[in-house]
Amino acid sequence: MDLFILYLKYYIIPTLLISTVLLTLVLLFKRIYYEQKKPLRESITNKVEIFLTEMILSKSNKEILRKNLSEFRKEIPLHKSWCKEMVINDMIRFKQNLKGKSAEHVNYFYQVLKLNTYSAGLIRDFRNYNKCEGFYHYQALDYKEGMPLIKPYLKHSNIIIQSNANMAYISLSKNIMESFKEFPAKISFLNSIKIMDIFHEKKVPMPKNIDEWIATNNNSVTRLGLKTMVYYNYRNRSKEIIALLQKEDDVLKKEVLITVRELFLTEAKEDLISIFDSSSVEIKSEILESLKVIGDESIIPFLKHQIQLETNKDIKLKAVDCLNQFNKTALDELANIDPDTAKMVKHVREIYL
Amino acid sequence: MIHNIINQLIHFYEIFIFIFSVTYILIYVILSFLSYYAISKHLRYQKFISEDILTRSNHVLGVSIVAPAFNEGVNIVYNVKSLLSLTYPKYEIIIINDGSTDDTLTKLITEFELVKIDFYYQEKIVTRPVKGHYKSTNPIYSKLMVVDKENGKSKADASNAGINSAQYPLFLCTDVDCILKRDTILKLAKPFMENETKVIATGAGIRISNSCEVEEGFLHKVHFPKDWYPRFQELEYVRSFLFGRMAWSQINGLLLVSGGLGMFDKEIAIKVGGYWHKSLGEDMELITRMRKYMHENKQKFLIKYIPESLCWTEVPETREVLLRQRTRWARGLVQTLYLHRKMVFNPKYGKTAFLILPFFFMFEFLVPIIEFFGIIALTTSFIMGFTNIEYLVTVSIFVYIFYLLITLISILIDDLLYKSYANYKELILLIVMAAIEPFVYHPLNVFASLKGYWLFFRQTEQKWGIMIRKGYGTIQKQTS
Repeated sequence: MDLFILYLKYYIIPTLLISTVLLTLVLLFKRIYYEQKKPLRESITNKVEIFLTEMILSKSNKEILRKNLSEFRKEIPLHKSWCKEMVINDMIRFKQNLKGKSAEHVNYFYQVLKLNTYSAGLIRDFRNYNKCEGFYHYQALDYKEGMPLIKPYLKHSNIIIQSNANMAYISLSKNIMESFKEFPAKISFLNSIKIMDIFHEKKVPMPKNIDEWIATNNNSVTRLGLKTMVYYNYRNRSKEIIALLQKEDDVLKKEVLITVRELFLTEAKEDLISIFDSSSVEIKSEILESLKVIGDESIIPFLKHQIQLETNKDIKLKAVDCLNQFNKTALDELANIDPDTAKMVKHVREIYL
Repeated sequence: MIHNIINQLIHFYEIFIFIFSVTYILIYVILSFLSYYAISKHLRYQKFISEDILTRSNHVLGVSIVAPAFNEGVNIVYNVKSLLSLTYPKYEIIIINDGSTDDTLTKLITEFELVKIDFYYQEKIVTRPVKGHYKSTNPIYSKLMVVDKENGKSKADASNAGINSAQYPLFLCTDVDCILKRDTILKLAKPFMENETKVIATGAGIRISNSCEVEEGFLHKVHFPKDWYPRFQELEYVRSFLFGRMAWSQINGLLLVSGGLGMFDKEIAIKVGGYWHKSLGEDMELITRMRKYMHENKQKFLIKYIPESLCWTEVPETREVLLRQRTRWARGLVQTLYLHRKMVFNPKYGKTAFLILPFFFMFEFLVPIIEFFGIIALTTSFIMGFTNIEYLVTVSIFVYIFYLLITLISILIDDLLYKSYANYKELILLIVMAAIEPFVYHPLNVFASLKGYWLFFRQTEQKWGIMIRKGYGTIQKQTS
């Protein structure tokens, strides 16, 4: 104990005390420095925004633009990383909100101001998050010349780098979409959202081999294929889509059911009914959602049967909603003999829900 | 003889305190590293997907915001408008009027053009009777639904009625007077979508709105609180959210997601029976039950925390209200630990049994008791002349500086990342608060905890006090 007190007194406490004082000083100095630099940063931000707006919307030729840009370089501390970052972010914002010639101007500025080399530096940096930032710059500013720099990271061991590199590469090279058929790994939920966003933002043409996407053994690629088919309203492979209902994977089944209703594949009715009893609650619910869209009077007996026998209230409510779509009289008859069904009928007929 | 026995007892107590303190400090050192790692990982991972992409997507998970309201007539309209302005492609707002005796419901009906609807209400979690559901006739407010129910004397009961009425797979539980950042839903829902392992709950930092500029339910400017008690609580919140919870999140050990702001998997929450209306710490109790359920069903799960302040709430400004709140929290803690005592060291519950619950017992529940016995030991030894002044002073200085360092690290992280305060003067104030907190504020907390334990073990009936809230430029009353 005495030894411990000795250590505390002569080593640990002084070390902690010095650390505390240093930490306090660092905290305050950093904050004061930030506050001092804030007006300068704000004025530069305004300057950059005004300049970019004028230049992007101007109809001057490239020579004049180049001259103006070199003068602009002298007015802002473009050698500082924070300034480069700020200008790039402004450019991205403009790019996302502009189309045509003005959007092309943004790319031109990006190169003339040599900000592309800054992004390249970020990609070469050892820190993963900087690499991702660099990929994002190239992707958002549509800097196709940067593709060779991204390519080595397409199969990177780090899943985040790999994903972001792939997304940037796909975005810059529209034809690469075809290669998804061969994608070796699982495409995560967020990655599929990112890919769909690229389809949406870049107006990529539908991949020519989309039929093959839904024939792979990689269920995540199949799911992406189904989403893509829905996006392009591509109905040519209805048979193959419906056949996917026989797969064991519930996540895939759910995607198939969404596709069935989104593409209005009415021929799927019997298949949906045939798998109903053996499905999980979630899939049953999706089946009824789809039947509500693609069904007709032929499914009324099935629905009546479900309403009378189903014990899960959520599923019963879906069945009531579905029957309400095709035969209100039949539903009223069921409501007359079962008060619970009557309440559900009121719910599904409520116009504000 | 007695002299010797007391001397021996104090000596044993000294050794116990020594071992306990060293363990405590070591744990905090480990937590600080974990917290640093978790925050930097979070920041790096942010680059994985731009939040704009999620905002544009049709494929995101739907979220129901569940916000109970009791006698909130003064601000309810502003609060709902604030919630309606959140950015997320697929969400609904469920306001539960928990038997308000003021004009809360009338104001909602008038302002948002509500009509009573035929809603098929399934009481998946048992609550006090629901009188009706209301929806707006105006499509602008189509996201809003109001559930009118009998008062259940607890937020838990009202929240459960909201969960029963929710249509989406995730629900965000908040207090109606909390001010949320626009992207709150997106930030809290993101972990549910980006993890392969099932995420059952997420939470984020809560800050104090007492001196902030709030206009019609929208946060205009963040300020450091003007009053003493909110200032100490600000410090407490920064430390607890950035330091403690991020570290626990890193090792998937969170046992608490605040009632003021937490997102949950609806299916799991319903399966475990929702919030327990008799609990005084219903948020902690729900998470404990959710963990228990996942362990029992051998399902892998995650509970994630986000190191960002997404919610601003009003905290007690007077000692009386603060003590009452902290007493209730302490009762909630001991109640939850007692209720789930059989989980401790039961191999079925893995990490929860061997790490989390023992930690909460040792370093949350026991600390106020040990401090209390410390005062007795100190007084006794002083009277009987056993006091080793050198030991006392050295250890006290060590503990004080260590605590100060931990608090300063939290403030530094917060300021580097979020610049939450208006200027450096507010930071200086915060540092001063940190320096005096152990002498001024901490004893109050210890007292409140001991009182809470005492009331729990005496089985005194639980009471929800009245807290006078300033509101947004007005004064209103509501339950604390």
